[in-house]
Amino acid sequence: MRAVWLGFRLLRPRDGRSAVRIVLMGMGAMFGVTAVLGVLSIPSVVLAQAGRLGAQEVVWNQERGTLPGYTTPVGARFWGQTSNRWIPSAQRSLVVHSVGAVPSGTSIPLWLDRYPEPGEIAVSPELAEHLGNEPGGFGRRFPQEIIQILPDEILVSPDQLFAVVGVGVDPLAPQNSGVFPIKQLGGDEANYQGPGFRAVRVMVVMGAIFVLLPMLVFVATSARLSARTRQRRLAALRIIGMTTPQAAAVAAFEVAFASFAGALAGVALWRALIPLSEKVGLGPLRWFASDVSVPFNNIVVLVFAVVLLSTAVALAGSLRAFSNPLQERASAGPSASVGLRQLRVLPLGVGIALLVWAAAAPTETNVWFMIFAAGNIVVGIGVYTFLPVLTSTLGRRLAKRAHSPAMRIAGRRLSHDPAAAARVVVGVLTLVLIVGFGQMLMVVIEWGATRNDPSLDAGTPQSVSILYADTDTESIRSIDGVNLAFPIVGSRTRGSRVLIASCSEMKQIAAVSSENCDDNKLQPLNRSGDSEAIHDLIPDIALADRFDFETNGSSRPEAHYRIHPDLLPRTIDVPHSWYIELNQDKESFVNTIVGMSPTANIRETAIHDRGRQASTYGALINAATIVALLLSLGATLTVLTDRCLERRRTSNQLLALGLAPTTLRKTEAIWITTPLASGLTIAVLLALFSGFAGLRLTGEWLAVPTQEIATVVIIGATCAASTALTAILATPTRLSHHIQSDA
Amino acid sequence: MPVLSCEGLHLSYGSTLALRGVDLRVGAGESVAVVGSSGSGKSTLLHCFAGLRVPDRGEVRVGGVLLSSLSDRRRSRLRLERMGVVFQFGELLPELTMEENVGLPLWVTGLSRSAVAERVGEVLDDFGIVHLADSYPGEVSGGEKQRAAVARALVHDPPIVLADEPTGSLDSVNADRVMSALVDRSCRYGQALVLVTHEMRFAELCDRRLTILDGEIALPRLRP
Repeated sequence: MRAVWLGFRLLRPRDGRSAVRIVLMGMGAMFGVTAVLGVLSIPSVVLAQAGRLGAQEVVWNQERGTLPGYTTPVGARFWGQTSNRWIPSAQRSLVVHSVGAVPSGTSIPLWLDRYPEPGEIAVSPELAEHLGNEPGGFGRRFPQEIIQILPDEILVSPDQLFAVVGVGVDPLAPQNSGVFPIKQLGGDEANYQGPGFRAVRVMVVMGAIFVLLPMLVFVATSARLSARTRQRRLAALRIIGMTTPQAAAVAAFEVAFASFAGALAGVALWRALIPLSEKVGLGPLRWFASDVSVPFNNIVVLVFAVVLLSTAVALAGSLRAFSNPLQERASAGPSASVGLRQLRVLPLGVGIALLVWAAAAPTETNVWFMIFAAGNIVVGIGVYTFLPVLTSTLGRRLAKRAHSPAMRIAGRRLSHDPAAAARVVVGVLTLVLIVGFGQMLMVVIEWGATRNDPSLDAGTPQSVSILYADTDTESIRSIDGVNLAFPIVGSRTRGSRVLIASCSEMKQIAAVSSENCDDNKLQPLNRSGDSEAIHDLIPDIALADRFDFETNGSSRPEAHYRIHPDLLPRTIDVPHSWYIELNQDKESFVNTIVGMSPTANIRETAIHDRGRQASTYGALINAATIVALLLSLGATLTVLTDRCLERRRTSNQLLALGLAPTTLRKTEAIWITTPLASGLTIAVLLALFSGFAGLRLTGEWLAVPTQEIATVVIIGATCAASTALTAILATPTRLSHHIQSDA
Repeated sequence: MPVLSCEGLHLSYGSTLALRGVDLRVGAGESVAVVGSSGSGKSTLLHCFAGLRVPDRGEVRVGGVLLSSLSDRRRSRLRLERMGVVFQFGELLPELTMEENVGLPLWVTGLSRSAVAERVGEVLDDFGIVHLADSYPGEVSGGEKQRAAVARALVHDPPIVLADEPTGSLDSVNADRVMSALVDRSCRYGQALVLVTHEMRFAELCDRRLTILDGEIALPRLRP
């Protein structure tokens, strides 16, 4: 008990430095707890969003049936269509439920005042704002009258674009393939599992890798602050006769108190950031602040876990003082033997070998992943164990070839206690390893997006196809920016679709075409189709020879046959879709066509989801990188400052000897940048190599990650520069009264 | 029976032999000065006496109790109750006042606050630093700090006082003050004093003077 009291008594800071030390220790715990709570909040957001998505969900009737006036299948109440479209300009999805043929008396979801009639729309607040702000752009998409602003309770996020549009039977009627009978609008089960959850899962994993690991480094580093001061204090207590447990209690109290206070501050910071998180979000991911929560018990457990971790690390760092209080004042003892040094290199060698294996040897995916994961983990451990060996070697060479006192002192210092410098820089090296790997993941995603999204090439005409639009060919062709528009009839599911176009029209889209276009026959295109199905659709028309063509745009119409409009049987009077080639902004066209026909479903031939992935995951990786960067760099600079301050006595002695302050600063800068620069070089190379090995899984070797490599190198250089600058600035270069009296 | 003794002490740091078969007995109230050149092993001997370092061979007895037979906890207790240790740099805790620093051994032993205050007041007065009771180590001179360190070593009236160059960092005036306070007080209270020092004038204040040369006692000499 007396030891605890003494620990409490020792908390009272006597000078600015001890106050700063306690504050820094507390900050380590604070940022750590805030980061972990951020990650722990994800499940609550996911659950809440599942409920909200469930409320929006359309419960379809499993049995399709046909449209009215027409027969509604058993169990179904009305008809509708849902489109979920990524809006690049808004960087989020637009979900639109089109509902029609709703009989009176149909149950209405609690969040809807009534079902919109044709020409009416109920919209989310964010969509309403867009419609108000962009009458000529987004507004064209929804010319209907707004009858209700939907409540937040059913929205996934404050910025969700969501609408329920009323449509008539006519727009729905001819489009059986895109329209489904609805049992209920608004599901009552909060078990929605949509594609958005993939990103959330990724966010949890990334949070764990990018945030938790640097956080652990930060908390552990902070807890080791002033290790020498603490060792001296412990040695003094042991010398007067305190037992090891008593001295440990004294030492633990300071760290435990600082980390406890810091952890509580971390909880407060997390709570303060929740409202802000609603406004900022994470890339395209947004959420309601009210959805963010962590169970109280988990917070309590986390706070105590951080306190325990900090205390354990601090005590582990003071073990030497516990076991032998004189060891601190004795020489550091002989350096590690050659055999032991070689052992320290071993994990890195094994890790690299595993990565080489993962990069080179073709093997089954699961096995490959295990090798790859093991390789990365062992490389991470290897960098940690190898660093003191590297530092010691560099120190010896530096001292041997020194041209200046600063180099000689720094070199001797590095070779004498290589672990000290290694401990300072290991946080940054861990960060660079993680960031490097993350950036290489970005390569895969971005490369995929680039490959699949021709809109990235501004000079190329863009092709879209429209399904289920209630309009005619002439109306579409009159829209600004439409180069070509051809109707396509036929079943998508049966694989026999017919493009309606004359030979002269056809040649407009055919940059290279065969000469055998025949307006008098049904003509196969260079896509294979189901010949039996086409005879069901268009009977008794002879087949011509195949017509080969290339479009000016980036894709071909999704059709298997071509037929002249005059030969189209009267029984087929409505096209199911259109092939359209644009020479302008796709969004503008989409806004216009949806405004003309709410049920129109536009499908780009580009796989926009890859772009969405890049956007989502890229934002996640970049956000996580920034958090990891701040945590790791903060930890490094903190511990470096602490180191420099702890060396005040040595600095004073050197100053007293007549060394210039600039020499002292140079010494500190060389001491830290030597292991840091070489360690960073190794970490960057390893990170990039690990990333390349990772590309092996997807086979996307063609990606040239220039930008990502530059990012990693810039981050590394920034870390090195800021670390050197901190070393220079934190070096005491004035004789202090305190130290003079100390000596 | 000697209050402190060692027999056949051997201790090495790697390949360097620090102590080579040292035998020594210190009786109650006796003061012994250990002199020798740097690296001769005199501080190591003191550390072995304090139980801070375990010899490779040989034994140390405190009041007849074999140190090596005690656990770390009991050795610590023995040091707290029966020894006062002072080093060249006082190792005062900068966060505690001079009064708190001096009273620390009493306080850790479990004495009440008032008893500690009373006892510490006397000792501070003896050492001429009572006016600095509420000051912090960072606010006083090196000599005053070192006097406080010696006071801390003596505050609980230990039967054994071990001092490792307690004046090594002080000017001659302050060194004289500290040393005379240490020797006079240990003599007055019948404490055994083992003093490691470089300075012959301080060694001659002691009853006996031993010279350690390369880890061995070279010349035991009785004070006339």
